[in-house]
Amino acid sequence: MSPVAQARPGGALRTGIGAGVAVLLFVAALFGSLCLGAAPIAPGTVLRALGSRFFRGVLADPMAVTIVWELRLARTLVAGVSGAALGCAGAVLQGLFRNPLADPYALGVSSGASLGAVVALALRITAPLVATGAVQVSAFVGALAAAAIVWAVAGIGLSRASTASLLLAGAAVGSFLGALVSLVVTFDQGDLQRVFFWLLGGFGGKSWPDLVAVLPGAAISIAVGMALARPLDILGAGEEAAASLGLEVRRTRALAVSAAALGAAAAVSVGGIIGFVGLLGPHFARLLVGSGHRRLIPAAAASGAALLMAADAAARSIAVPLELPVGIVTALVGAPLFLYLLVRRGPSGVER
Amino acid sequence: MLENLDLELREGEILALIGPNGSGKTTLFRTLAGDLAPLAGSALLESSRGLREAGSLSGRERAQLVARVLQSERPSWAASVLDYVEAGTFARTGWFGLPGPKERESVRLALEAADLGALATRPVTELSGGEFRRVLIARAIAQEPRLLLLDEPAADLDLGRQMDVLGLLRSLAAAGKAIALSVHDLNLAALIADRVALLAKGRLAALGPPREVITATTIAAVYGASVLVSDHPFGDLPQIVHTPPWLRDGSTH
Repeated sequence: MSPVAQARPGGALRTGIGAGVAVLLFVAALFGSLCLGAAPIAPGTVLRALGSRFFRGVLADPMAVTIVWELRLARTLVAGVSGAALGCAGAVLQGLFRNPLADPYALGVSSGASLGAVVALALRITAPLVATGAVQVSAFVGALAAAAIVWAVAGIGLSRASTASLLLAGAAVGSFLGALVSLVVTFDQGDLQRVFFWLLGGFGGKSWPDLVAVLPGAAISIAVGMALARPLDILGAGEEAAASLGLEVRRTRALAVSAAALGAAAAVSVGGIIGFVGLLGPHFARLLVGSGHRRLIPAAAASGAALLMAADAAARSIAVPLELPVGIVTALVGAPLFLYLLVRRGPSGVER
Repeated sequence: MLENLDLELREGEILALIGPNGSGKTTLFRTLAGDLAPLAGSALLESSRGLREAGSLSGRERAQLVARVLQSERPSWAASVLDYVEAGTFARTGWFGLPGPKERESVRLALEAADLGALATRPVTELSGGEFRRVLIARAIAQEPRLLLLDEPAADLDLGRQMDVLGLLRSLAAAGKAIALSVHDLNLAALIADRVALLAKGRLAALGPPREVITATTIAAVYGASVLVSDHPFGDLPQIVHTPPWLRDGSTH
């Protein structure tokens, strides 16, 4: 057998195992999140509660059915979908920027969303459903507007929007919007508690309507991210080399930035600013399935989902009856884990 | 800026572009590759549909005609040699296409031509400079272009690896590819090229066989360096020997 023919199986086996591990982690986090919380429920009881809606013969504790179906399942899925969107957006931007430190917030999305949210909170809309909706919509619009400003600034400043100028514009616009957030909060301290919780992120009280809110943006973003797999692989050679291989670099860049901004905006508008998931998800996925984007992007989505579901389960189980903001959990666990990966793999993200 | 430049490249021919830093070698490559549009005049490529302006072709159409090997390219992730070379088939398969039997065969032939068969599964991040340069050339071969443009293909390589790469280019030209390479080392240019184009300040200062272009007079005029030009023992090729002031004056050694 020629070496070329042998090139696949060994690698395929390894990435196959890695993909299996990613799926296992995802399922474990999903199920674990249904069991854990202020009132832990035994795994068997959770299974029966889940089954009772599908099979008439399954008898389940009505209390468990209510907790699992009305409270935890929706909340867990919102966390999972948000984590998947963040993980995928991170993988897409890291591929685009050829920089393992890029994260979904590099485009100013988080500051834009924060500004949208605090402005909506400052308006003090009191009708319960409208109030949540207004904050979410305002955050979503703010996030996308910030990304659009970053794109426009980077494109105008230089003859054509280069990748480095995007990162720089993202940092500058992000700082500016962050200052505006502080300004709004300084002048309007009435609702500090809600602002505080929004800025630290969390899924407390999220239910089915929130899932409907986050799902379309996340799904479109992940679908476009997967479609970008081969172009991102090609882009790994550098922009000039990618162009010489026939890739339309500008179109790829526009699609990648739009997809990442949409996914991050969807996640942030529902769950608030949750750090490290978009950074850690792709790194974790790279350990499991390698750096080829065809496998990396779905694996980053699965890892991001698993990470955020696990973090949310921890956030509501650690300090019962208090619920920690999930952003604190992801940063407390994520930052040291990220540093460990950095030391082990080197700053280039290339395995040593 | 390039001015008054009239050049034509034929199949099976190796053209070496020489000239001081900033003389326009890279600009010429970018124009030929369609990355830069000429302000006046045209860069024409012969495609299956006749002569076409380089800038008027889509990225993928152009990539099927012209392949580039950049000096500055570095891998950003640990792809296998096989996957890296497979990227050369992108122009034919596109965004969603997976390489079919035809593309896999052209990748296999490219790896064979560049003598990379034994390295196919190795991560590109672990290769030596010479090995990686051969990977880039193999990827360009897998692109199945009619024209190859190479930026300093022999730079940063040791003597043995330089000859490997030049030998590979020779065999590609023998197989009918048109090849243009920029090169600083004039002796290497003389060794490999059928014709040499000397650029100076964006103009074509001389064009012709190495013998005619690489002369003590032109080198002194364009590079401001003093050299002796002698003959290569094995052929009618110019070989230059540096004669810097500190040797001529006999003031040292």
